This record gives sequence, structure tokens and C-alpha cells, in this order.
Amino acid sequence: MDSFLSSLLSYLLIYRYAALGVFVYLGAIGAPLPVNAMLLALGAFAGQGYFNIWVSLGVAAAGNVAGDLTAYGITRRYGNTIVSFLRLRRLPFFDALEREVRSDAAFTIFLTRFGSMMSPVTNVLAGMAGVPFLVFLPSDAAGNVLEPFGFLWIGYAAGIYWKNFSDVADIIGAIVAVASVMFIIVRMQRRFLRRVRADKARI
Amino acid sequence: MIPEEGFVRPTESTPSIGKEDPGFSPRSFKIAIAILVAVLVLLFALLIHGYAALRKEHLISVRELSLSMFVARHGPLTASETGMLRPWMTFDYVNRIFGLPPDFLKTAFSIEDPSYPKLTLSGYAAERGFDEKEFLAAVQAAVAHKLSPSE
Repeated sequence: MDSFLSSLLSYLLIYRYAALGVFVYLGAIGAPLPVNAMLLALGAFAGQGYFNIWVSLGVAAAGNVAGDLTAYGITRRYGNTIVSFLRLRRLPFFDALEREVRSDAAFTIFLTRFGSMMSPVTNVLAGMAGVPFLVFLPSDAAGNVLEPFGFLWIGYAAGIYWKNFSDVADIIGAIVAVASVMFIIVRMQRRFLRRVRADKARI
Repeated sequence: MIPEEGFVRPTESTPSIGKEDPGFSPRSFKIAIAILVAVLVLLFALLIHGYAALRKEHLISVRELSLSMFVARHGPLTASETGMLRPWMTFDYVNRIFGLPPDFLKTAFSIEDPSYPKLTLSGYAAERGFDEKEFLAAVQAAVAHKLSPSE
């Protein structure tokens, strides 16, 4: 086990739910923390009676939602200034992605909660695209309850063998992330072709 | 209806895509999808490899649904499982998972640190200048001795 995860687990055992909330929050805003492995371990700790699985789920979901809202809120408020400063408007792919998030916001936000690395990116895009708060919050909260529940349950079931499941859980997360990117690109392609056909018909 | 501030709904009458998205072509989409499919195939291969490793260790088997084998067992660990002890664990956690009295390790190692039991094994070893591996082995031996049937 890498020493970084060991340190996180030590803090988790000492400061319990406070440490859990802080780590999940930092992970949600994009800090490279092994949150999924930590949730697996937490599930195992809950199985041993050291944590309550439902309180853990509540804290993990709240930390995730708070982190996502931080990224979304900052980019919604200052996103355009940052984009103009970095001249990202000139990148057509960036514009198309932003349009994609905006056009089917609820489903895209919900889906990307399951692909760990996709979540912070989508939060930023949702903020920039100006997705309404009341669309962002329910989709984000729903995904953020289901996603940690999966890891906690696997850890709970695996018990002392939780570490053996860590790699497989990471691979499943990566598969979901790639599949959601693919799904978004296929939808972008469909819209692109539809608009090209409409242009041709107009000419 | 007035749209919410900063939220402009796209319409089918958006100006020509050719002018709006000069970098796009149907070919670029196909290339992106092909790359993603290749990555997915690779990830599925890794998943199968991971599953095979878990099956080899008799931890999971879809055919036999043997997840239940370890789902059912959540009681305290036994003397034969002291190998599960790790330096990052706290004394409190060790006492709990082996079902030991809260002061067992404190007494066994004459620990006077006021942070006990919220103290990691590695932290205590470092604080007292002990070798981490030797201290871990000593804790394993003490726990195994306490849990052995003759005790």
C-alpha cells in the first residue's frame, strides 16, 4: 500500500468523520487523493463496527456535493473572466463541450459523478455554461449518494480484504469515465451531423 | 419566457456549424470514438485480469456467488489474522477489530502517551525510537498471545 493512502487512513482513524468530510471535499474539487480506495477502506471499517456506514455515506455525499458546488460556483461567477484571460474561447472543442453540458445538463452531470476524473471537469464546464443551480444540485446530489455507496458497500462486503478490491474498483471507475466521455462525444457527433444536414438542406 | 441569466438555450437554428466549429469534421469524431473504444477494450482486459486475480485468491466467484463467503463474517479477527496488522492502524482500531479490552495494548507495552488510544502504531514507534517492523511484530505477538485458546 502506498504511504500516501496509509497516511490518509491514519487520519481517518484518528479524526473519523471530520477527516472523511475534508478528504472527500478536497477530492471533489480536484485534489489528487485516492478517495475511492479510502471509501473502500471506510466500508471495511464500518463492517468492523468502527464507523457507521450510513453516517459515513451522509458525510461522503455532503463532502462531494460541497466540493462540486465550490468548483461550479467559482466557475459560474468567474468562469468567463478566466476563459477570456486564457483565450480558451478560441478552442472550438471547448465551446462544443460547453454546449453539450448545457444542452443535456442534468443527465451529463449525473453520469459523470461515476467517472471520478470526469466529475471536476464537468463541474467547471457546468459553471461556465451557466447551468442553473436548481438543475445542477439534484443531479449532483443523486450521483454523489450512489457513487460512494457503491465503494462503501464493496468495502463493507470485502472486510479485511478491501485492499484486494482497490485496483478493480479503480478500473471500473476508469471504464465509467471513458464510457461517459464516449457517450458525450457520440451525442456531439449526432448534433454536428444534424446541423450539417440542416445547413445542406438550407443551401 | 426570459431565459435565466447566463444560460442561453441552444437552438436548431444555430448559425452554420461550418463557420462556428472550424476545427470539427465527421472524421475527427470517428478518430476520437475509435481511440476511446481502444481504451475501453484495454480497460475491460484489465478488469478481467483483476477479476482473475481475485478469483485466484478465492475472494470472489461470479459462478458460485461466493461474495457471501466473506459478507457473512464481520466479527472480531482471530489470533491467526494478526498478519493483517499495519503500521497506519491506531491502537484504538487494533483493540476494536480484535475485540480486545481498550487498555490491553496500553498495559502490554506500558504506554504512557496521553494520546493513547488515538495514536498510530507507526507514530508511537517513531516517537519512542523503535524499529517500526519490530514493534509491529511485537504487537502481533502480543495480540496473538492474548487471543490464543490457552489464554
